Amino acid sequence: MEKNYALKNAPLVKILGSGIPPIVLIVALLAFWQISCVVRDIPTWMLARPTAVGGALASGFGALLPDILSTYANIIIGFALAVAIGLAVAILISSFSLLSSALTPLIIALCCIPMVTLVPMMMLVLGTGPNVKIIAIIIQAFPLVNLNSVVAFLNVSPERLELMQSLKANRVQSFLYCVFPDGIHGVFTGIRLASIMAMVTGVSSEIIGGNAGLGSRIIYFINFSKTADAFSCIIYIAVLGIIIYGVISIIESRVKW
Amino acid sequence: MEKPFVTIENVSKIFQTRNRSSIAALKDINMQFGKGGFVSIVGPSGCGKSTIIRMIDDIIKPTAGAITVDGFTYDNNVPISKERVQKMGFIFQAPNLYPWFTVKQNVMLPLKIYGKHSQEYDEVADRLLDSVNMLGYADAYPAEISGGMSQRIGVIRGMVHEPEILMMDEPYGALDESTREQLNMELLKIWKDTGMTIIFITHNVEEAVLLSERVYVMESHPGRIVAEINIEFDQPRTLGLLTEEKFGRYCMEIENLIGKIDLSKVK
Repeated sequence: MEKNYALKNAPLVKILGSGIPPIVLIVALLAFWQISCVVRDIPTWMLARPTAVGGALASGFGALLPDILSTYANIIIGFALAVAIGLAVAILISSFSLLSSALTPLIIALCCIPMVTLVPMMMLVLGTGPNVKIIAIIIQAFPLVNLNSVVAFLNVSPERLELMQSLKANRVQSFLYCVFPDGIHGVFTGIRLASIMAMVTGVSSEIIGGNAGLGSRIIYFINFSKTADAFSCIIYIAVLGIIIYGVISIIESRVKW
Repeated sequence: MEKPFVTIENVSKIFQTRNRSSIAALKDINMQFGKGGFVSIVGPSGCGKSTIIRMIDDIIKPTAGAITVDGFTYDNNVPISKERVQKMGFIFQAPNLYPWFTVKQNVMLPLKIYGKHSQEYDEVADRLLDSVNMLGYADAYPAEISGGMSQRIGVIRGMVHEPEILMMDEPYGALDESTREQLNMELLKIWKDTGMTIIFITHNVEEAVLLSERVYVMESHPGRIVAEINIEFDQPRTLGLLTEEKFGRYCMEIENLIGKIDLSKVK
């Protein structure tokens, strides 16, 4: 049982530390990329070479810092609020069936609408500042936390719940001591999925409008055929994704059951 | 068993199934026993043994009839009072320990829910852990201890708040014979030491005869009591009883009562 969860529960450090194989693979892929570009003489404006991307990462960091911070801040704030809202609404929905029947269809609908399609309209109303991006992230990401948590809370083990009934625990006690810990892995599944949606929505909102953030930088660099700089932006975005994944993994690794 | 402590009067239970037909799980159950007694309920599976103690514990409501414990009567409409619930302990078929709590936190869970946090209760928990030789495992997690150990913890969790009535739903059903005998002896000692009233559910006739002062024999479809047999052995009881002729006669009598029902169905 524990073994099946080994990968899911392992902190990022462990996964990276688990060895040389991934490092060798990454180096091999980069080498293949570099050699292909050189051998086929692919121009830089079409596809940047890894060495050029490395150079751009080193030289462009200072200039990109405000955009990096802006993107990171939007995604982290939006994602954190999405987790908090998703969880809070899940607790309400799983406790009151009337709320569940009223809210669930709406939440599923939100889940199904790609926010990229709504963001341009939201920008007409709210402008292109950080607020609209954070709101878009929340709307797209919270349903995933919410739906997964609700399913986990409602599928609490009947035997475990019966102990609470036998002790005549009140709702709060029953939730804290039984339902929440029993469903914690479902909550984490939702949080992981939500982190991916937060990344996608955050960056795509920046691509759609405004001139701040890594998403808007990528479009800017591509317009000027600066592919190496565009790639460096993508790497900064990937770094945030890895950080978020790592933090979630470390927190979940503390859950021992 | 003098003055009645627990009285079950004409209790029936009808369950509604998903396709809206109804199943009579229990019909006209009547039981009465005094304080400090040890009674067992035996019967074929599905006869409603577990439902009876769940109704006493007010987890399931009776469809008809009433239950009186220590002068307090409750039924389909009247719920059991909070104070009364805190005088009851329930031990499940599976140990049902929460894997997110340590062994000791599991044992202390009823106290946490009842808001009893004093040092005194902490000592009760330690004493109980010690009585089943589990004090050394207080900080272990349920995944780290064996099935027999888990079952012991499940049992002492049911008594940590010092209940007056202990209901046990086939607590040792999943254990091997020798562990079961050992735990049964531990149970008799605890019963003697605390003076609790114990209602014990089992499908093991020998276990019922060994432990209890009275055995209720049940039949199914609908679940009802077909016999009430007083087991007259001296206290304290030991495993030596198993070889006595009188013990064999009690077992035979009960097995015949259960067997008769089964034979009539095999046609």
